Amino acid sequence: MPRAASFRVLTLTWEFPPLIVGGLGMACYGLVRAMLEMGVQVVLVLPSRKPVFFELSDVSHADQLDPAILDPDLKRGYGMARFGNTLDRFRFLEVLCPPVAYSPGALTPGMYRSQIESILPHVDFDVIHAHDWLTYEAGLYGKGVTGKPLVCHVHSTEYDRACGAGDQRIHQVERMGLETADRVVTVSRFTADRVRDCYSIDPGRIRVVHNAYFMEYPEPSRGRLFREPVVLFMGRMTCQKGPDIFLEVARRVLIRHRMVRFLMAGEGDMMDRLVHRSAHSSLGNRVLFTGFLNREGVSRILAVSDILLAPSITDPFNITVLEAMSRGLVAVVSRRSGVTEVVRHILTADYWDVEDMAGMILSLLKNPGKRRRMGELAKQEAERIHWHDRALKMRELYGELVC
Amino acid sequence: MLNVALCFHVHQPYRLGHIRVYDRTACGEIFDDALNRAMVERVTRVCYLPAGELFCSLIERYGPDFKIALSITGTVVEQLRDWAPEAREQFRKLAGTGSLEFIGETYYHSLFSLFDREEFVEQVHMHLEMLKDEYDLTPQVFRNTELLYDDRVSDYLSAMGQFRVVLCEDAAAGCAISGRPCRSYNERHMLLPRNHVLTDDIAFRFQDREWSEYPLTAEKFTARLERYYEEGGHDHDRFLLLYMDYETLGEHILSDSGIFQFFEHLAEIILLHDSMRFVWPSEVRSCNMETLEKLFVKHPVSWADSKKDHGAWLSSDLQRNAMGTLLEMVSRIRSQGDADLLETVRRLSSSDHFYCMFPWKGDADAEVHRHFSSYGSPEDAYVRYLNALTVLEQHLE
Repeated sequence: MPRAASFRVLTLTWEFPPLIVGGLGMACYGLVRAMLEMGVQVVLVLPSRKPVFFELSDVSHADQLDPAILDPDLKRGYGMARFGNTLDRFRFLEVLCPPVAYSPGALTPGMYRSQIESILPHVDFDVIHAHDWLTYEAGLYGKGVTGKPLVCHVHSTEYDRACGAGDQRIHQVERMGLETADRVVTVSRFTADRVRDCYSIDPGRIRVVHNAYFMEYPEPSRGRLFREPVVLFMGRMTCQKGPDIFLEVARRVLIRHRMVRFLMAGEGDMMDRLVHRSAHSSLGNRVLFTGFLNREGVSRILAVSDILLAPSITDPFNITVLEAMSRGLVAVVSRRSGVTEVVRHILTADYWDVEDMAGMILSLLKNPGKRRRMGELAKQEAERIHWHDRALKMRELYGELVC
Repeated sequence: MLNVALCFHVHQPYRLGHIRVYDRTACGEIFDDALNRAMVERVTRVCYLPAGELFCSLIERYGPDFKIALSITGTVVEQLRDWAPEAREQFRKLAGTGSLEFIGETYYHSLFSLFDREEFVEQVHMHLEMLKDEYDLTPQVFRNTELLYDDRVSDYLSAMGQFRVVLCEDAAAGCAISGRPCRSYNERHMLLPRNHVLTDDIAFRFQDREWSEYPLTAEKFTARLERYYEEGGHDHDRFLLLYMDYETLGEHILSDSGIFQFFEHLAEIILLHDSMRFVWPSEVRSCNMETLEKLFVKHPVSWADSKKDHGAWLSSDLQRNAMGTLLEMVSRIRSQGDADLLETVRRLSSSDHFYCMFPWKGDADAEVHRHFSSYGSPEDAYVRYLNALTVLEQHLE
């Protein structure tokens, strides 16, 4: 039986910085770093067509990401090549930028599984930790071959992402993974309930480990972009996140109060529609789009924003809210968001109640003193939230399985 | 006599970069210098230099009988000055031959005739000054952006006194009478309508393999000119305005298609022809103004798209909101008086920015808009544009 501190975890994920699409990448990064800090070792597998993985034993390795390469030719080529940054190295190793599932040329659970097949004989670990559905099949395969326990980590379900029925193939993968896993970890009680209700998973096997956040870039000094305060949307512009609701709230606020700007940061399948809708409302340049932001961009935009409006229709967690709070923003958050379970100093609303949210924003705009005080409280609260506590819970859970 | 006025329009806008509105972008960073430079260098190589050489040699060969007219915007002249001095020199050389007539317009190729008289007049003045400085020439003929014309254009120009002739699209005159100049409704200007059919034979159909006249030769085209002349009953004063982008030569239509040889040969045939000759648009003034039809144009007509109105720039939500925001910013910046900001916002007033926001899906017009856009999508063009205006606003505050 291994000592708790020397656990080796086979971590399967398809998103990890610098490959970032949504919250999964930052959640894995935060958790992996915190576990490395407490001495847990991680074998990280990112999707690639090549037999490549990453052995991490020190917190610095989470950024260095030095690959273990099984193919000798590839290894030689890699040794001789010169790279500008990690993305260049990833491109060389064909570590894939996560695509949309089941679209042509996209990553599929089967592809991820064949990668594990080639890696498995060469790695040593105590437990398998599979993040989100794309990796579940690989996790199951690993469990089947090695008999090691499997943890399936639910960052979101197809029910969340699709805003509706979703893709049956994905449901099947999720169901199979969650039914077979030794433990199911969800990022909120909200998601635990969903997993229980939608996939009939025994609550005794479910554990909630809330997300935390990690800001890699130091806080820039706060600045103003405009005379007016800025209300921010930040995230994927997809149905789940309610960007169209954000726009409707913006419209209602602007009818009554012109001294405000609405910034929409991110991109996604609804982007074009949102651009047209904002233009249709003739809001001039009161509503602006920034496109996709890298992590540095996130840090910079938070430094010039005042209020975060996150009207998600369904959101297992929403790390963005914590990031915004940590930079002193007041967050107005949909009740159907897991993050509301871990913080108090936010304003919550029903995602469909645009009038309520508009009222909250208006009251914050007209009362800068209140806004400042709330922002300060939010910041203090966020500063008490750390990945370390989440990693402790994870380690405890591994202990239950390995003993 | 068939009086053939061969006119070309020379223009390049300032294309927009990726603007990060949250990052306190400097005003100068709004435009994608690298892209603009590459575009200007390319069009210089494939069009401006070879076309200039062609026309210089034709002028040398035929002397004062060969005439062309050019409208050239301020934004392209600036960019030639910065990035393609050899092309700039060549335009000056052409101007020096005396065989070229220059045509007035707005410096920035903008749409202000529709919205803002003061700004429109100011930009026309700026363009006059540019022609004077650059070529030491003063035009008598005016063309508005993309031949956009309605009665207001004539009104606004009247106060300037400069111009005698305004070029417009034949659709403005009812195509039936094209070939005869008209009078503006206020009798202040002669209007010379462009013949869009014969122009498009070259500018759009030259490479169209489906077209019965393909491949178009100078002989075939001359035959079409003859037919056109005969239809008019050998009218003594029949004019033909052929007016297209200068970039048709070598850029829109590649040189290996024979477009340069076509023009060379066409010049030769017309100059040898008994009943055809080249004229400048200003020569339409030889007509007796009293005998011309008076033309009322209440709604704007242009040469753009199949609708030939202002829809190419102002029909979608994106375009309308962008224009509304531009107009607000122009008036704020003008009242504040910062010269740098004013110059930048005027560069943003080029109609091209709006042209790129037109939907790409649908008919053949949409395809043309897509072809001429340097952005990823109309939405991309719009987002960049609003951010650009916002950067100006930030500097204003």
